[in-house]
Amino acid sequence: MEGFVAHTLNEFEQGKISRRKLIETLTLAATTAYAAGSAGAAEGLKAALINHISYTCPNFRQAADWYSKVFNLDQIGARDKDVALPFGKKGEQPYNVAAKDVALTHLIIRTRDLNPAPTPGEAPRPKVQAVVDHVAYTVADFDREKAKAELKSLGVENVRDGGLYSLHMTDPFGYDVQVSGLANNALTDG
Amino acid sequence: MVDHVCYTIADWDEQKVRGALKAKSLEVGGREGSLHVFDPFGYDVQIASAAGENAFKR
Repeated sequence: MEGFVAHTLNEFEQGKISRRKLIETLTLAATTAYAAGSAGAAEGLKAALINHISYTCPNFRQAADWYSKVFNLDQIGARDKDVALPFGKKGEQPYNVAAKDVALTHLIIRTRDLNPAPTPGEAPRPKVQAVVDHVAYTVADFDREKAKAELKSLGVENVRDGGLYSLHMTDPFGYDVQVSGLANNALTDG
Repeated sequence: MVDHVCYTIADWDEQKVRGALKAKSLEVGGREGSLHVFDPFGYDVQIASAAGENAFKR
């Protein structure tokens, strides 16, 4: 929230948005944050952060190398069929999280059978009817044209504009990957 | 494909987390510190403590 407010104020100071737009945006942000806080308190469980995103593909090493290259992520704890790519270094505190027992978000990139035989005694998995159709990553100091050029120089395929503030691209297995700066958030174009 | 997403709960209390999920009529699977439920469309949702799921403790 603090980062969003600072970014919005900065846009106003640079003349990118009007005073009216500044007030509208900050009012909406404050109202939304208050509503979210109230709802969380009533529900009992409150997710502090995404712990990890589990990504399964035919060749986890190829995918991990691509995500490492594109997002400058380390690969740690490699095993026969998976590897972890944390968003930060060991001991770092996750951005904007006060609690001390929240792990750094990481990708787990795997190769595995997504339809294994049910374990005896366990209920079979329900039929999946939902999908995470893309993941969007925030890049600090995001400059769309600069990012576009860098991604193309890395050989990233299908780099294209997305909405007002972001880029989309395609990973080696055809998965849609989005990148943006702070301007692309739940209060702007989602 | 993204086959599941895991969310961290701070101040992890296993009984409290399991109780909160069961109160929503969810069938809770998984292991200590790392629980799984399915959303209404069968999507696997994982809920974990920082100790239960941590890239640096693999």
